[in-house]
Amino acid sequence: MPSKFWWVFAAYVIVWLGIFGYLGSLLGRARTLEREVQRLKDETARR
Amino acid sequence: MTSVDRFLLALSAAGMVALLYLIFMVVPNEKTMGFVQRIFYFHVPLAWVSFLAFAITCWEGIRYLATRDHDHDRVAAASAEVGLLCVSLVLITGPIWARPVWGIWWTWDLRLTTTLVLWLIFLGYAILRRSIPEADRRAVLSSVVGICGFAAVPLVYLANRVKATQHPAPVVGGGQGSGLAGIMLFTLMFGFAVFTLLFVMLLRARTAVARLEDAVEEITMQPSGPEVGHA
Repeated sequence: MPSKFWWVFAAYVIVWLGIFGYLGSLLGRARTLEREVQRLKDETARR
Repeated sequence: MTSVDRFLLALSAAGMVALLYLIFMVVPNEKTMGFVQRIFYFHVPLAWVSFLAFAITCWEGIRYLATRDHDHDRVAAASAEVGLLCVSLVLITGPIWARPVWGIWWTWDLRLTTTLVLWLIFLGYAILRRSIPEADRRAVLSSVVGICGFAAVPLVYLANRVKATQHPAPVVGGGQGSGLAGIMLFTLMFGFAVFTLLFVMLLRARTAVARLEDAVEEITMQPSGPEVGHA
């Protein structure tokens, strides 16, 4: 294993977790909000 | 997620795999720092993307103040949030690179300090947005902060160009004596392209979320509208 491998590994893992964690949270929020918009529209239409 | 978003996601994933291949299989070790210098190929493109993100925040802030169209404010806020994420990652990967090379995690040199100031400004921007419930006032104030905050970007860029710092001298556009070997420069440029693509995807996704948040607010604010939270 190259010298100082774990420093590089740590840096890359943090970047990947940061970016893909953020993307995952955005997709989750988008899904929840889409459902919420639909529910509110249905509720408004029923009134 | 639209088909454009799926295409961008696939393209950036493929680009990221190719970038990792270049970084770990093709690029040689740098002479003085050795293997650990490979952090550079993520660290620098992330810094570039944060500059781009704050430039968009500034531009969209100006457009919002000129037109009062809230879509510009949504894009400005989305771009600031993605930029804040990127500059946070720059401030984490920098010390991870510095510790084995310099023997210290941090030093208050001009480049590092201005980067920290940039991060604090856009952290303040994010806090400001969360603390103002009224949409128009929030948009005006955050546009002003976004425009003024962008002034820190040239300072960060110039910090190690006008003054010798502990931070390495610029390798691109750094004048005489700067530069990178061919394959290293190609990998860095490829990194810029991949991270820019990733940024565009994140910006689109965050803007879409902001539009949905506003749609929920709009429906619930209608006089006959339902209340949020009822299942």
